[in-house]
Amino acid sequence: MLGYIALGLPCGILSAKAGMSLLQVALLSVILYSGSGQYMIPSMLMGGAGALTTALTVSMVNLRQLLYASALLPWLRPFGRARASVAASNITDESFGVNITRFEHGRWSSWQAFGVSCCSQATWIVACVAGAAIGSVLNIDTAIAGFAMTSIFTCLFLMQKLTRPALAAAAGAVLTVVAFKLLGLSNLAVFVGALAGVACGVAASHWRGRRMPNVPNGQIGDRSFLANDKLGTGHFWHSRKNAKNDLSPICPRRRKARR
Amino acid sequence: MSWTTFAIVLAITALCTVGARVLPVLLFGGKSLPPALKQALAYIPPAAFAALVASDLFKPENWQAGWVANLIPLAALIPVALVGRKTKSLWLCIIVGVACYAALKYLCLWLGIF
Repeated sequence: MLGYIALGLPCGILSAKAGMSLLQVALLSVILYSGSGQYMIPSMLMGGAGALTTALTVSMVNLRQLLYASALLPWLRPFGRARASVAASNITDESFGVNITRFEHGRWSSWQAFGVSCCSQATWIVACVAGAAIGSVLNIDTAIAGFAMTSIFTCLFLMQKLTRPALAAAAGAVLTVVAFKLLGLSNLAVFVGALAGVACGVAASHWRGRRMPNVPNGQIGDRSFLANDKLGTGHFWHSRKNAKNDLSPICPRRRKARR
Repeated sequence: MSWTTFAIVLAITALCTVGARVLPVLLFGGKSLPPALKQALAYIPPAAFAALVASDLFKPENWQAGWVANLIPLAALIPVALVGRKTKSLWLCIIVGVACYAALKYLCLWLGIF
C-alpha cells in the first residue's frame, strides 16, 4: 500500500504538469489503472508525441497483462466466466503477485482476489488525485519533472530480466529511436522503436537458441512495479510448483530439440 | 490537456489494457498462450522502456542549447542507474534522479556554464 502512495503522488504531480485536470487524472486511474502507463502518457505527450502514438505505445506495453491473466486462469476457472472476468479486470503487476501467492496457499476466492485488487486500486486513485492537486499548485521545472519520468523508466528497465535477447531488444529499440529522431520523426520514435526492439529480441533469441542451448529461465515483466517488497511478490516466481506457469521467454527451437 | 486528446488516449489504452486482462479469462478454451506469442510479449517491456529512456535523453531539438545542457541528464542518469540496479526501487530512483538533476542544473547555472 505504501508503494502505491509513494508512486501515485509523483504520478499525479507529473500528470498535472502535463496539463491534465484533476478529473482527467481520476478517470485515468479508475479506468486505465496502470502505473507504467500513467507515467508514459504525460511523458510522451510532453515529449511531443501525438495522442494516437501515445495511446498505441501504452497499449502495447500493457499487452503484457495477457501473461498475468493467463497465469491466473487455472485458479479463476472454477468461478465461472463472469466472476472470473470481474476478478481479472483490475489485475496489476502488484496485485497479481499477491493473489497468485494466496491462490497457491489454498482457499482464496475470486471475491477475495477482487477485493485485494480493489483496495490497491482505491489507494492508487487517492494518491494520484492528491498528487495532481499538489502538482496544480506547485510550480515545478518542466525539465526536472521530465527527468523524474526518465528515472522511472530507467528503473523499470533495470527491473526486467536482462537476458541477452532482452538486451538485444533494448539495443534495437534505442538505435531505432535515435535514427527516427535524426530523421525528424520524433513523434513516432518510441512506438516504432519499441516494435523494432521486440523484433530484435525475438530474432536474437532464435539465433541464440541455435548456438547456445542453455537459455536460463528468467523472470519477465515488470510485475515488481509498485512493489515495496512488503507484499511478498517474490514467492511465486521462485517456486517450483509453478514451473508450468513459468513466463520466461521460451525458445521454440530448444523445445523441439527436447521433445 | 484538451478533452479530445485525453479521450483518444483513454479510450484506446483502456480498451487494450482491460482487454488484455480479461480476454484470456473470457476465452477459457485457450489453456495457455502459444510460446512464440509469450516470447514476443516478454520482450515488450525491455524494448519499450529502453525506447522511452533513449527518447528522453536523445533530443536533437535541444542541441542549440549547448553541450552542457545536453550532458546534464546523461550525467544524472548514472546515479539513477546505480540505485536502480541495486535497489530496484522506483520511488528511490525518482528521488535520486530529481535530486541529482536539480543539483547539477543549479550548479551549472551557478558556475555560469549553462
